[in-house]
Amino acid sequence: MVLTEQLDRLLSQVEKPGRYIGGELHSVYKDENNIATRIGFAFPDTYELGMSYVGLQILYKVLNDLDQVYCERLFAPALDMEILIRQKRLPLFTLETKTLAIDLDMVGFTLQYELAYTNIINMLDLAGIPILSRDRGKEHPFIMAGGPCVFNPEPMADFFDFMVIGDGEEILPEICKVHRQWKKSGRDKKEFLLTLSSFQGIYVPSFYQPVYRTDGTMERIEKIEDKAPKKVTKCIVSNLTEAPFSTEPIVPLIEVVHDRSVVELFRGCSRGCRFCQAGMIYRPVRERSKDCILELAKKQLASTGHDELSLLSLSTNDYSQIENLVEQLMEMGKENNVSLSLPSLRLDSFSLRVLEEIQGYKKTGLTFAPEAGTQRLRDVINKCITDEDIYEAMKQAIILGWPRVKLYFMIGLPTETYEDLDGIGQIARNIMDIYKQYRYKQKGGRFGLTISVSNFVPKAHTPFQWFPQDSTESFHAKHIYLKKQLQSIRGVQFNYHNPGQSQIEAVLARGDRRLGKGIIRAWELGCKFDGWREQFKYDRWIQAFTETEMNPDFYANREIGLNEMLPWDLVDNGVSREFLLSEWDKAMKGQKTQDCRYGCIGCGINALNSCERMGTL
Amino acid sequence: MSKYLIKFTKCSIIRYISHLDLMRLFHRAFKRSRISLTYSQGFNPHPKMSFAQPLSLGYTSVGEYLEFETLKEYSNNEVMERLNLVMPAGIKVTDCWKLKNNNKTAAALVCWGSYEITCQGDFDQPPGQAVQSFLQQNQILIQKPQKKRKEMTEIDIKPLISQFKIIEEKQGQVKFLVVLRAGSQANLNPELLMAAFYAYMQKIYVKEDVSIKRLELFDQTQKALYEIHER
Repeated sequence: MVLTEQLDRLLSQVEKPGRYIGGELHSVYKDENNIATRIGFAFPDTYELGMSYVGLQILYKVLNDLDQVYCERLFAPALDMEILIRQKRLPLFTLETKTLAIDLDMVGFTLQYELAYTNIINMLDLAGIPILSRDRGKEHPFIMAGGPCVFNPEPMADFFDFMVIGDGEEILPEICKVHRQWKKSGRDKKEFLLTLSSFQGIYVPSFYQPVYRTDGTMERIEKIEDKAPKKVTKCIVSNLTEAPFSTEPIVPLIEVVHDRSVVELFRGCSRGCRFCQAGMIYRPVRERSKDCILELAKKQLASTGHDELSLLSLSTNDYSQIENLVEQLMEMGKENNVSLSLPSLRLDSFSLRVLEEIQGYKKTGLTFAPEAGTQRLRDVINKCITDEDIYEAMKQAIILGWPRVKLYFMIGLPTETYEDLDGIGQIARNIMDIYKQYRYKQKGGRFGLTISVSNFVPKAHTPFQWFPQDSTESFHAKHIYLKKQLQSIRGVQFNYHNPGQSQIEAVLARGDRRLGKGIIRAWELGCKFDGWREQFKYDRWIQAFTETEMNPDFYANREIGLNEMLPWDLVDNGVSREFLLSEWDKAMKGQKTQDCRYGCIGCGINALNSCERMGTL
Repeated sequence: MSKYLIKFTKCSIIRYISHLDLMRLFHRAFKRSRISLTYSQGFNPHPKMSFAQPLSLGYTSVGEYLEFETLKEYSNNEVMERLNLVMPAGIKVTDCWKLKNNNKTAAALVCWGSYEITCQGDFDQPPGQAVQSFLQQNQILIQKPQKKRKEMTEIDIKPLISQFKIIEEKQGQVKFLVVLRAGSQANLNPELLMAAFYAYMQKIYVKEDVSIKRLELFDQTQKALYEIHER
């Protein structure tokens, strides 16, 4: 636990100084003299968000379990702290030893969300590290990236020396090993990157040069470095039960977004919703064994003292032994006053029964994501929920006395018409009718419904990657239309996302390498924390694009030709282009694709890794 | 069921966590130590555990007190050992008493608190004399924000000060010892006192230049809490 005098003086002037102190239980302090590779795990948002991210806990453990490696944490300082550290010219430092980021060997950013991109630039700048990879010398750390957003690495390509695509647990120790040898050899930085580029999952942007046509579309990606692979295939951890997972996660001293123990149930998802990037890029489904989960939960709770345990996956109910597991975990919780929290639940009778037992009198809110207002559109997006499912779940929830239900919808989906928007209104009205019908049976008193609408953002590697996003004007019009319908229904609340934010997200999600200068310009104009509604500055982004001669519509609102080369084509995530095309085709015909547990649907991932889940139902 | 009172320190950087954070910290520490606390009944059970007096964020302390109720009985030493094993750096349990059931709660006992205040920077006039004349005023009026309404009200803090003296004076640094009212009846935050004193000396109060350490909590008769309980 280290605190410089300079920092100490700043801490008494900022909000939540606990964000910057380190020293939490299970944070790691090592003898700095015996370290070959010093890494900063950088989360481009505030401490409270970063510490709620399970990936950080996993990789922190993986790296610090290695003898000659020391991994510390870096977060984006909040706005009040940033003003002070810029005034005092105090460069970005690690939480643990307050070492300057610029003095580390490697800084790895996790790219969880496109709207955090300007924060990455800002953190590099705060650290005093040149923003562009080509401007950095041997004295600077290697800057690397990982996380879901690197599946389209191009918009951020100019800033990173290399990117790790896919699961990081197994490749990171390899990277450290190579780094140690390279450091001993004293050779130049390129040698290190050359060695890395031969590894599965490593993308070195400077080894490639995209070539564009006059109409702005991509012609090809030229390899500058002979030895670099033609395509970068993602890393996959095949066996989750044997994969490392923290039993002693860092326990934050201050309240963070999720203050709880978390165990990952499985990675991947077999449902195949066509808009969902996570559902495509994390294939195949890999489960952790039930015994392993129980063991991890027990150890984590004992070592942290948390009073809440949560299970992590893309769809909790799809865990093969979910009922049995939940029963055992609830038993465990009762003994130790630990409550269980189950996110990403499908609202079937099992879930409602479990929730009843978990929450009892403490019922707060129930969330549920039908995603689209009509059966037709749900078939298009392959969200396999029927009207009956929705109404049955709502009826049960009302009878059980849930005071508040939140439904998530997406607008701007392919083939959407105003009839589908009417469908959202209809669902809201029907649910309130169910409430009127059953309220005499209800345990509680009141019932409120929230309709939360997000704007569809086409994402790389999904069947909808070619589809244009609605214009901001169209989103606005749809919001007003929905508002009119919904505000007349008593007990219904309506909220929606900022269309400007959704557009910038789409630009960055489908962007190419040329966007890098637009991102820098936006940051220069003061954009940061773009994911925070109150910080987001749409006008500045548009100004940045204008000044750098980028057209946001080209990236967000254009239908991309099916034969066009895509900026992310050099990333092979295992799901074949043929599969995505056939899913697109089926979507246009309103045809569903089954959950692959009923039988293989031929997505192509089994060419990369065995897929244990196919045909298990 | 057994009741205990522990005394603990809050030092170094952990002073930057709030009272609420400290409550959560102890809650988790008890779970890690496998000392089972009793829980309140009702819809939302919570462990029976309460602090004698909250400490402001940023202050260190060598005199914090916490009371709690356990399911099983432990020796005083065992409580201390078990807790100290699982504490993050900066929190250390230094003493423990088993309480009788009819004891008044520590929070209800607290009436005074003592603080050591270290001020960086030089004073234009000898601070010792200034303290004297500051205390000789008939009233010491300060503006204090109202809790519920937002407007400021003027209050006289003189009756809330029991001791205010200099204990160390050297180049660029003065250390004060103060004893002030604390607790739910009346409470004077040492920062308010220092701000008033600085204003009296026509000196600008710079928060970062002042560090505050709580030394002890006392009852009505200015008997320290640790003196009240028998072993």
